[in-house]
Amino acid sequence: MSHLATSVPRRLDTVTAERVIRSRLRQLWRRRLVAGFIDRFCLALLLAATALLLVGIYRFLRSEEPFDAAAAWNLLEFALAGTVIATVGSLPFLDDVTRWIDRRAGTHDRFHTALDFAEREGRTPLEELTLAECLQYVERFPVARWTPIRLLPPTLLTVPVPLVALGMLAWHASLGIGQPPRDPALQAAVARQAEALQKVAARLKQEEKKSPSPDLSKLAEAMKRSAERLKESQRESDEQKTKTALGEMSSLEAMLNAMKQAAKEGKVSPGELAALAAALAADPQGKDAADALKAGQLEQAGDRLAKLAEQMQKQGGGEQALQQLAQSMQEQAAKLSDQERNEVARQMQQAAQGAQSGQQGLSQQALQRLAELLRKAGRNGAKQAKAGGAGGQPLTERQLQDLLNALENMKEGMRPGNDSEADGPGGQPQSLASVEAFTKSRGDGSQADGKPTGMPGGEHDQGTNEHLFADKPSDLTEGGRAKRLEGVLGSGATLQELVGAASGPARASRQYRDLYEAIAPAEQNSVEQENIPLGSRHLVKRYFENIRPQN
Amino acid sequence: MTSPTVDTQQQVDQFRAQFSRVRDELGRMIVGQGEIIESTLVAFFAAGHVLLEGVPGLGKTMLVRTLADAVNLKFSRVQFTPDLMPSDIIGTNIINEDEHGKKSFQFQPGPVFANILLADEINRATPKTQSALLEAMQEKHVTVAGTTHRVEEPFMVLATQNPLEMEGTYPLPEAQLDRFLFKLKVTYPTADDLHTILDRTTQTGSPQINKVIGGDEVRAMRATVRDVPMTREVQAHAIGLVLGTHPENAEASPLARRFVRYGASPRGVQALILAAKIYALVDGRYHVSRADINRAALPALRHRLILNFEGEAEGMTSEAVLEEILKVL
Repeated sequence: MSHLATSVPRRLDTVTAERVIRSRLRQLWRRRLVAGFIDRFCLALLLAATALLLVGIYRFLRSEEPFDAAAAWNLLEFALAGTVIATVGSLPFLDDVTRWIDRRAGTHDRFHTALDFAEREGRTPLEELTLAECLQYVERFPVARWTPIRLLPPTLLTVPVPLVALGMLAWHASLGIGQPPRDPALQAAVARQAEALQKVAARLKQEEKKSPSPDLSKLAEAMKRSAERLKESQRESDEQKTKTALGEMSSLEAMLNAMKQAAKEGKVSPGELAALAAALAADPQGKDAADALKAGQLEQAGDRLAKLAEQMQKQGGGEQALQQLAQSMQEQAAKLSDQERNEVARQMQQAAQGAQSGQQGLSQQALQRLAELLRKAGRNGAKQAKAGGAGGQPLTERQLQDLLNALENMKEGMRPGNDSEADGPGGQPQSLASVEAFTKSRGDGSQADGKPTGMPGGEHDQGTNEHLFADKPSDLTEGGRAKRLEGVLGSGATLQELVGAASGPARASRQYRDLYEAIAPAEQNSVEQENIPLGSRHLVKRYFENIRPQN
Repeated sequence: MTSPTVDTQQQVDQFRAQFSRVRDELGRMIVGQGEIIESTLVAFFAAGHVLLEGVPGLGKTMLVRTLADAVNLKFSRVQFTPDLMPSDIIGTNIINEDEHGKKSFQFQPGPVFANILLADEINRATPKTQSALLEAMQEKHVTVAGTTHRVEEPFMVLATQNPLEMEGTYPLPEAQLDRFLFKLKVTYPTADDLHTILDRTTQTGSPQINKVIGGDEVRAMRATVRDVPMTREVQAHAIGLVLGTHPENAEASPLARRFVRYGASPRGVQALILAAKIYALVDGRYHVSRADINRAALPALRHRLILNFEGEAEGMTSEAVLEEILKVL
């Protein structure tokens, strides 16, 4: 924009000149802010529309509902928020505006020069001329033309998006894929599971009426609620349905496992108590604790044992006394039969091992743990006495395992390809058969002590059988005393040999079947005891089933 | 507060009018080459010297001679040849005998003692002779046998040179090159221009050049140029442009870093600013803008950039380097 100044431009004092240029610049600043906001919002809108369209197409191809109004609204909110943040983050100063407009409009730096010279004092005649000419230019400058407030042309591309969305929704509805087809087998399986749960809950309720137990009541309620939730889940998608079913089973399983763990921890056999009393009696300082044990005052015995452990730690020569006590404990623990061995025996042995290996801390910990076990057993005994008085009886490990088996069988029934749960004895489903076993074990006290149930899935319960290997008397016991195994290391075929051969080019020296049979007990043990997520435990089992030798 | 006086306004108007008159007068003789004419005049009113480069026959000498005719100043011409000696340019002391038979040395001024000196085909002389102009161009005086002789103001050297690739040429020393305000490249005329040239030169009658301004007016115009104001930011832009040519500078352009051995000197910024001031005045403004600086960049800086071996081997030009810097700024 060039124009010759043929006449003397009007003169302006400093204040007026500054006011004129700043007012014009502020106008530019405001328009630039608004225009910048609109430009950014257009861009954000375009990006959001593209994202929405792509996601819509992807969902449509997956036979899902292509558009979700809430998601679209959220996207719009994000676009708006992003635009506001970007605009506020790039707020320009007046100096920036002068540079921007000078560059953009080719003003020959008149805005910048006007602002600079307007602030100068003692201007030369040529500077006065310059200022006047620049202000004249600035006043006539078409601000609106250079900072237009309008939508960016690419924004028009967002217009078809709602149309496409509506079209796709209509098409989707016409195809009838809004409600994905339900798997009838899955529906039937879930219905079966819900029914089975209801039946089990009803049976438990009956059982609870016969012999009241807080655990039973709690379990029955939980199973009833799970059955209701499973029924409700029939209205949901297959995927959601499967999730709900597995979730319900897993939460019940977790509840049973927690009960089982509590039952296991609180279990102390009379043999263990006698062995511990004998070990403590061998030490003059442990006599008080031994007496309390013999008198059946478990809590008091626990307190005295804890005190004894502390004394041994504090007093001089405590290490020697501890070693003697540990030795005595080891001897007594070794005399216990398998049935008598529980947590107390294990802690006794641990205390002995700690003392022998010179880890006094380990022994102290084991003693403290023993004391805690005694106190707990004492408290449980008191509770049981109270509950027995009120007609209540806690569930045993065995009974809880039966219920777990029932749950496991129900889960197996949910597996794809399992049209119905395998039949148990008498043609009834295995889950109910397991519950039958449970009720029998409650009715018959001898079952609770570990008689084989004969129920499928009940054979992997740990240590509940009288003999680990069916009815054959164990070689490991002889009159309740441990028998030392005789053998020469490396004389027979070993698992290590097989694994080493399998990694090399040579053929395996043992049959696969032998290997499988060797690891099967370990596998079952691991699945029961390792910290595998409850919902995935059946997957591990299925894997081992799949690798079972065919012939 | 100083108010803009009518005198200042008149001075500026007078500058524009006189500049316009001289340009029109030159345009009557020189066909086309509008940019070359304007740039030559810019250098003339900025009190600088011009180096015109182009193949023979493009009207370089004609341009200079016409300028001298139009401004009513003393003009002299030196045809540079390989055997030209420095004394042939600046003058020498000769023995003079008076009527009493007394002999004395008397300084015989050379052609440098003129207002406009045409150094035709300057790169055909040896560097020693070329350098004889150094003192006159910068200090506006010459020294012969220990005596300094001042050249008359306004003084301007207009040198022409053939492209360096031609045989029998000596490249100008860097110090000499730096003293030229502008280096202008004269290109071939277009077909239309050639028609006009033929019409004017192959028929009877040729345009007569009028002397439109004299030495006093030139000096006044040169003074006006110096008063043109500019903001600090525009000045910083010019400095940034020059610093961008320095390969060791952190803000140098990638091309400058790779291909330039020596960047522009402070004389380069001075040239930029002075030329930009005249461009602003001619454009009808009273202040210098970035666009004026950018417009002056190529003629003012192209001869001040010394390319390194790699640059020359790659066929790089200083113009390409400058254009890249201008894009970045």
